[in-house]
Order: sequence, then C-alpha cells, then structure tokens
Amino acid sequence: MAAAIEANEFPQLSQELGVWAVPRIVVDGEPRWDGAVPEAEFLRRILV
Amino acid sequence: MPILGTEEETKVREWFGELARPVELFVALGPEETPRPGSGDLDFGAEMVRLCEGLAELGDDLTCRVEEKPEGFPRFPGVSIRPDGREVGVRYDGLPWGYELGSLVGGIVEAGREQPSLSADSLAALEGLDRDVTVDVFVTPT
Repeated sequence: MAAAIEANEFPQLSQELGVWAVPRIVVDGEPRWDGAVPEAEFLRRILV
Repeated sequence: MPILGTEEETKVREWFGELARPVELFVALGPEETPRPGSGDLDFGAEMVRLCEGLAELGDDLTCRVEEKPEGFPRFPGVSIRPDGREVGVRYDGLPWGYELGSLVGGIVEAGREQPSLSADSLAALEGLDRDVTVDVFVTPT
C-alpha cells in the first residue's frame, strides 16, 4: 500500500507521527526519514 | 472555474491521451478531521470531487467515481488511483492542491502505463518482497 497524506488536513495523525518537515516517509506505521531521495535509495530504505 | 491554466491543461490532456489503459479515480467522502488552522476555509470533500471530475474531463480513459464512506479508506476525503478500475493500493489522502496536484497527475500517468517506470533493479527488489509493506508520505501543498 502507498499513500500520500496531506499533513495539514490530518493534524492529529501528523502530530502522532511527529511530522514537522515534509516529505516525511512512514513505513509500516513507523517514521523513517524526512526529505526526498533517489529511487534506489528510497527502495533500500523501505525494504530494510 | 477550471482546475488548470490553459498551458497546463494542454499538457495534461496530452499525457492523459497517452494512457495505455483506463484509470479510475475512486473518490471517498466521509467525516473529516478539523484541519490545522490556516489551512483555509474549504469544503475539502467538495473540492476533491471537483478536482477529480475536472481531471476526468481531460482524458477519455480517465473516469471518476464518488462514494460515501466506502470500505478501505482510513481518512476522508481520499482518492484511490485504480488502473483498469482495480484497487492496487495507491491512494492520496486529503486534497491534492497546489504543487501536489502534480503528484496526482503523475500517479494517474503511472497507473495508465502498461509497464511501471521503475528501474529493473527496483522491480526485482519489489518482486522479492515476502511481506506486505505500507508506505505513507506526508506532504503539504505549496
């Protein structure tokens, strides 16, 4: 599953996940990192 | 009111004209959270419908369907991008406005491809997955 989530419209969820900068990437409910990364690095980080 | 400027609309029509298969935008409406102050006094659900119906007018192979509180949506409004009308687990939660509209358009174009645009290495890595993975990307319109 993959979703883009507009942080300002869901402030409670954003607060729970500590969203202070975007993009914030959350994998299986756990915040992992902030910021855009190249495709290969993105895959490496989400598949760890 | 048009959702895109003239030049942008022309470009998006070209992209949607190249969809290799039909794509459905499945819009889910339901109870909404109170947005963060400063987010604007918008009816987000109504705007989501207007946006998605407006995009669907720009491509013969792009359709829009709207339902109230359908199963499978944790928050509203949301839009699921469905190639050939199939739920494949790709969604945008909240209104994709400003620069985020480009993300929705990009998602539609990707869903309309016969083959993914990911690299061969990425596809191989994903094919090797032995579990479900959920990726959420928090964004803001700018």
